[in-house]
Amino acid sequence: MGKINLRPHIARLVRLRVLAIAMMFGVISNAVAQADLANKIAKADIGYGEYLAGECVTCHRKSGTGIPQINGIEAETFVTIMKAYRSKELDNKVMQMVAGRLDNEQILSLAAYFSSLPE
Amino acid sequence: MTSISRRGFGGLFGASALGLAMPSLAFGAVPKVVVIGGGAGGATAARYLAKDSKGALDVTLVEASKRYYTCFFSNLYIGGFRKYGSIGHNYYGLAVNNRINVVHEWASSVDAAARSVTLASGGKLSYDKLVLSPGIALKYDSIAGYSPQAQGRMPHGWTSGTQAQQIRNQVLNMKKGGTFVMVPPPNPYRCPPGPYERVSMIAHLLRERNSTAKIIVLDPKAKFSKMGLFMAGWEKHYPGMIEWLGPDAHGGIRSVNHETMEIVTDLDTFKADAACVVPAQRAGSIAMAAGVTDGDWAPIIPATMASKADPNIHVLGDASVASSMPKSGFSANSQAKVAANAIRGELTGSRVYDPRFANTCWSLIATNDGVKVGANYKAGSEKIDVVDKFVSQGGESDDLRKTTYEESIGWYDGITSDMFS
Repeated sequence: MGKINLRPHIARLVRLRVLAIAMMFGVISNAVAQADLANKIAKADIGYGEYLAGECVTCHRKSGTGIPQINGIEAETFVTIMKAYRSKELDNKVMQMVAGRLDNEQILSLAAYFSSLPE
Repeated sequence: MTSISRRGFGGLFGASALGLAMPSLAFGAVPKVVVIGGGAGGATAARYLAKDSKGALDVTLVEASKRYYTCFFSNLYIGGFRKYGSIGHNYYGLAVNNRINVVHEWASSVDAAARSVTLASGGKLSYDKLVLSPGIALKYDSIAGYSPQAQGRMPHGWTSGTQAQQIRNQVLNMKKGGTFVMVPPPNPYRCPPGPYERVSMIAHLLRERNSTAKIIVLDPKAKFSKMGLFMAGWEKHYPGMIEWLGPDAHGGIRSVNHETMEIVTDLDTFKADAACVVPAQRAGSIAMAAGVTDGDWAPIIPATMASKADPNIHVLGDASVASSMPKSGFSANSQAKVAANAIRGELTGSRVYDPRFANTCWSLIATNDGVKVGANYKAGSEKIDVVDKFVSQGGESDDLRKTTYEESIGWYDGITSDMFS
């Protein structure tokens, strides 16, 4: 009696520290990834994006029903969504096919173009 | 920046090499592009040429109709899912917003050597580049007894407008328990799933108003686009109403008679109370007049949609031989952007990007039961080749089919805005 068993606390602390460090790295790597993406989008070929967008605007328009509006979309959101269609995590056969033949550079060009448009 | 060389192949040598060949370039005038046909191919091409060149090209669009009724969604009008006015469009946006010279006339001939188009009025238009997007012409004589005269009582409805109104009207006025006969066209033709979506829409109308009526499909083909999906949909929504007979069952379509409303096949004669007869098709007449056709259609170079017969004439949409790309409004719209990009590069020295093509065809089988088929394509050296494709599956959930239908409505708004805004 009187002697406190520290072992579980230490173990908990260690777990928390591991978690904290992991989270810290997560936040940093996420921030790094975001800065990296923003940088890539800034450097992307917007003229090429405008050309590629010809395929998108057959269906996507400024307003309308059934198909979302993508003018003025946040570039990072655009990239995330297109990659999710490309990997078939998002489920729409037309979009899976469209995204399926876009390489990363083409997705960045499209992101740069659509994010530059007014909503 | 290595990507520039991959995509920029047209721009660098374009202006200097072609300066001598193009009269208006040599004298520093604004190069002229004439587009014939204001549908999905022509309207899109004119709009992209004008919009993207920002005044560096003089674009004229020749289209006889002041109001254009789209073929796509004309079936939905027949079925009562769209108002007639909602599939009509004018050329205000192209003329005013895009500064395209819109000429509402028929083009009657092309002098390819002089680079000049003659209009039905006798007026002339000269061009550096000509874009032909005339759509289809009907081969009336492909079915004995069929003619422009016969189409009043046996409408084809394959060019939208009043013909589509005629079909809807005839279905609404059919006698109780009457028979509607549909004769789809042989391959190749505009809008491969169209005849079967039309059957679905007619069945939808009849089920509501005349549920003992029958539809007989006398098909010259043994199989058709989205066949399994349509057949399953007909069984589900209109059980017992639709009888599809392929050539094995009727032996071939021999003749039609619009006075007796009879359709004669090898094995039987069918008496119709109302009918839709869609004959075989060929490229619109101006493509024939311009000398760019080989047989019924105009062969093209895939990377630019330029005619194989004349490098200064580009042919888009239904009139062209786009190999695996179906004859659809979506295809024509996609081809128009490839052609506009190539033409602009050649005439103004702008960057020319890698040609890319796509198509999706949505069809409505019944209320909220939409299906789709699509593919994307690349320019091969001889043909337009498929990269990837998909088709709706049998047994999809009601929710997915509803979403697919809603998507088609979004697409209609998108493509018509891309053509006309």
